[in-house]
Amino acid sequence: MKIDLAILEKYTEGRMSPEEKNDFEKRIKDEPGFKEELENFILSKSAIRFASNKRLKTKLDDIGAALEDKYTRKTRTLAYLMAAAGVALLIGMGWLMNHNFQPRKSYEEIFLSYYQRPEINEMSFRSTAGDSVMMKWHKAMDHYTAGDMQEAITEFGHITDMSDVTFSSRTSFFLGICYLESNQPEAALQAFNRVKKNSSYGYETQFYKALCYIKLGKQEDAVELLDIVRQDNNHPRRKEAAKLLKDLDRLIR
Amino acid sequence: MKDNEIVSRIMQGGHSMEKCLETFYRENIRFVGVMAKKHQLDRESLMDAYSDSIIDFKEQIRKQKFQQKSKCSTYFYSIFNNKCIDILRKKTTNIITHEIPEHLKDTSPDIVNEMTSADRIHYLEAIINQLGSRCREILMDWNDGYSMEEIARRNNLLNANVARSKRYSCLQQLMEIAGRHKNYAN
Repeated sequence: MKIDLAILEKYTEGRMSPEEKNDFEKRIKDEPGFKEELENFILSKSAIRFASNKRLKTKLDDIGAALEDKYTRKTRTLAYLMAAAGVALLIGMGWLMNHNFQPRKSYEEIFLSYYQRPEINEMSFRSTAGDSVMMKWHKAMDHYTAGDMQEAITEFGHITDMSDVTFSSRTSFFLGICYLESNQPEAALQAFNRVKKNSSYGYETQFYKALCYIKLGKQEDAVELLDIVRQDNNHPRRKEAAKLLKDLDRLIR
Repeated sequence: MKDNEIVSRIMQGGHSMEKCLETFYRENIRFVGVMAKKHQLDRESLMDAYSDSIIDFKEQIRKQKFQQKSKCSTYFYSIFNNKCIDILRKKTTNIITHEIPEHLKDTSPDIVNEMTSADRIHYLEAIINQLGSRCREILMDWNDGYSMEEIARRNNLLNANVARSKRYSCLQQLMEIAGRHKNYAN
């Protein structure tokens, strides 16, 4: 039995007038084939709606998958960024702590960090000086080794007063060290200034003079001298000079 | 999108409805996160329930069950919440105490029955799958409210008259299949 689909659609969509509806429902009761067609129509419509919704769901799920992918990538990127930021923050804080919160040394502390009294065996030498001078020299060195700096200063003073002294640079250097040990940096500077630059004590004297300036708080003079030392590739104290300059630089800030 | 626009575009059907639902889907995706916190469900189940809820929402509007007494998003939220509760009910024996406000309750049991009854789903799927793919597409387009011109264009048919005639013959075919399948099932 073939029935006009338009009538079935009109009935199922509720677009019939009351009269049309009555007639339609009477036919359902009276004609079994009519009722069957209506049932098949309703089933078909349900099947179409089911398939249509399934098609829509597939489309929406595709959008959802794209959004989820974006969400996952965003979350992952955010996690990476946060981890990177955390590491950067830790490094930054570490640098700041190291740079700014490290306790700053005073001039005296810097001096004490770098100052070391030269050992006498490092300073062995040969001389053409007379016996009396050499006697005084050994006497001064004995006081120096024993740590009797005032006695050593006196003995070294006697040597420098002698006109025939040929190793004045050597004597002046140790005299300067003795003054430094006695906490007399100004006098030490004067003694170091008498050391000839081209003598074998020239390099050491530059370094100890710089330490004198530091002890006196004369930072500019110290920096100027240490910079010369640092730039001299042959200078045995160039690495220490570079470190000292960094310490002094931190002190300025 | 404003509520009136959502309702009118869904009622209009076709391409306008499809685009509207896609936008609505994107605009309310935050509810997935809300439900994840509220019900402690896994994201995959939530995404599945979310798209099912969009389809239910569309059906409610097309059947004019949505009276616009609440905002579309509020109404949709209640549908989605019901879906989540359904999932929880399947997963747990605990009694769910969530009470849904009366005015927001889903009042279309036929849709829910359709989507939850496995037998009925298999039955409908079996019917529609016996139809050729082009016929299926034409009938689905017709169901979704596409105009005959749009159906012709989407399915590479000559014109709207051809689409109309094709739709008629496809529906006849499907009704015959349904009749045979029904007799076979009985």
